[in-house]
Amino acid sequence: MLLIQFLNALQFSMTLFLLAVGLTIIFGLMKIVNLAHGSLYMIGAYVGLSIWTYFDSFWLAFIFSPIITSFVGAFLYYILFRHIQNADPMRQVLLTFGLIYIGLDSVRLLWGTMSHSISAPDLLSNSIMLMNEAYPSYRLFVIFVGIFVLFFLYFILERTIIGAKVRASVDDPETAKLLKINTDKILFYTFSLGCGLAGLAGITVAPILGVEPGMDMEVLVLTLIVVVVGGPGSLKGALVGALLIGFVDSFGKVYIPQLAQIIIYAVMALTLLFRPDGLYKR
Amino acid sequence: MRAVNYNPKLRLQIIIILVVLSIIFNVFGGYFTRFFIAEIIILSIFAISLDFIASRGGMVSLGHAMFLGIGAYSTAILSINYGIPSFYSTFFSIFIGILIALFIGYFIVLLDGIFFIMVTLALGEMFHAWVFTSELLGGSDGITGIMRPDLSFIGINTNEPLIFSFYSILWLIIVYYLISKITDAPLGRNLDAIRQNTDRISAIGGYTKAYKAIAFCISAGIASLAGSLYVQLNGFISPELTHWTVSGEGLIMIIVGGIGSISGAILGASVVHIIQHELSNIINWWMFVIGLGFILIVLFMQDGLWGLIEHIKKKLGY
Repeated sequence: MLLIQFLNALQFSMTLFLLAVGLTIIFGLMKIVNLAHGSLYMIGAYVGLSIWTYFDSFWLAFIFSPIITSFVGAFLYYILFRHIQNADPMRQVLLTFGLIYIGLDSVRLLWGTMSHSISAPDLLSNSIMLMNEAYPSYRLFVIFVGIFVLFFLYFILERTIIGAKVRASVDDPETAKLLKINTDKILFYTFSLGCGLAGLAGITVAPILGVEPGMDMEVLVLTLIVVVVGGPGSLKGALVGALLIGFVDSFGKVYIPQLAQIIIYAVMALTLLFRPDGLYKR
Repeated sequence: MRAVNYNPKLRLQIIIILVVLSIIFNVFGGYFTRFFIAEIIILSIFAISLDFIASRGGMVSLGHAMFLGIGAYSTAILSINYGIPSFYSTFFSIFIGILIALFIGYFIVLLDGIFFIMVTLALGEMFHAWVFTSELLGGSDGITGIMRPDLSFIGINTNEPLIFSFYSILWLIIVYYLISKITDAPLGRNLDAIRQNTDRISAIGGYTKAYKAIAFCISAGIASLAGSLYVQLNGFISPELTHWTVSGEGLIMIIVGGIGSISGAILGASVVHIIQHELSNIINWWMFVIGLGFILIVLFMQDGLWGLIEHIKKKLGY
């Protein structure tokens, strides 16, 4: 029983991590809070739904929906985000706020207001016995995806030249430019990658949570809390924040259900009280 | 944040025009027009509260709908559960809003820019989540049956939409007067200085935290007032009012009107609310259009309608 809960919490944390890491990378590089991040997650899920419906293959959806979402992100960057990089925070936030409305209505117009469900691929549709308890193998797959993305990003950021350039652009954009690093290009690719990760989160959880309008709002605030708790701009912070919020939320719902709605906010408030810049400050 | 609009004379002219217009529409309009005007005025009060902390205090709050909710729910609870007449519970709810703002503000006012936005958003959502599950506050159903203020001792009946609209206009004028006085007073000047360079002000011995906290409380009190009036207008309250998108729309209103000019907030609230209302009657995909409009305004209208008016006045040579 405890193991199942532990795995559920881990699965939820990994979903949050996929979302928060995109947001936090974008924040670290551009100092922009993208409120439309949840909308990209929703678009990822819906695009996945369409691919799954037409080609009847979850794996095609799993591969192509993050790619398409990152194209959407690249498009948004090209027409909007690169123009507001130096605007004040209020304008940046309100611009992304406008995007939420557009995202919500686009999804409603293109796919309708019905909620849909995607079934997990045959390979992962059965349950696995873990210590005499049946556990859906798809959820293990979600955990695996999260861990894979974590190591992938860690490797890219810490062990490659591109990663070094990204870190340089985050820490000191001006010096990075002087050293002939094309920060604009790095911004562009990182932004698209962040959006793609949101799409990946969308298609990954679609078989568990379903696909419906309004799913963007459900995750947006949670993702923001993860980023605030972890410390904006920090990969490690996104991981620790996601684990903290994911576990507190999952276990809170089981052990103190009457406070379940509030407990994660309490965690955030406590973190801010003692560490106003989040757990891992950049 | 850059310097904000500040022109006391134009400010006064615009509010006089707007108030006169609203009185005219109120007198000659039908039932729905009157109701609609009261709604706009309440939104304007809310927009003013956001405008004040965003422009003077440099704090952009995406959780201000929380105070709208605090005002509304306190009025509802006080008047239904404790039988306090809603006229008095308005004052109590302002007081409660200020107290809660004092507590929250103590922790958050010094957070900068984006962090403040994210934290207020999360706090607002916390309140929303709590309201949604609280039995005291009626959960997702909300509370119904709140009475309007009983002013029969001076011979008027506020259940008439005409009278209630006038009652709201009166509150709007009081709020406008208060905020414009504060803006011109040392408090407002101090806030301007703090917004432009917090470090320098604390270096020369200014109380940055105290001033910002006071601004936050004033703004929260005004938002609570708006909430209290809202619940009296509609007679019911649902948790939807406390959702963070309400705060977002409020911020859009002040951008449309022009940040920092108090009258601009009223102008913005009127324009945005009228467009939303009319558009949702005409087309099905109005949210798409509204969202696109928000983006275009943020990108291309730096000073909003206020800037436009100033520009026209300059062209005409006033």
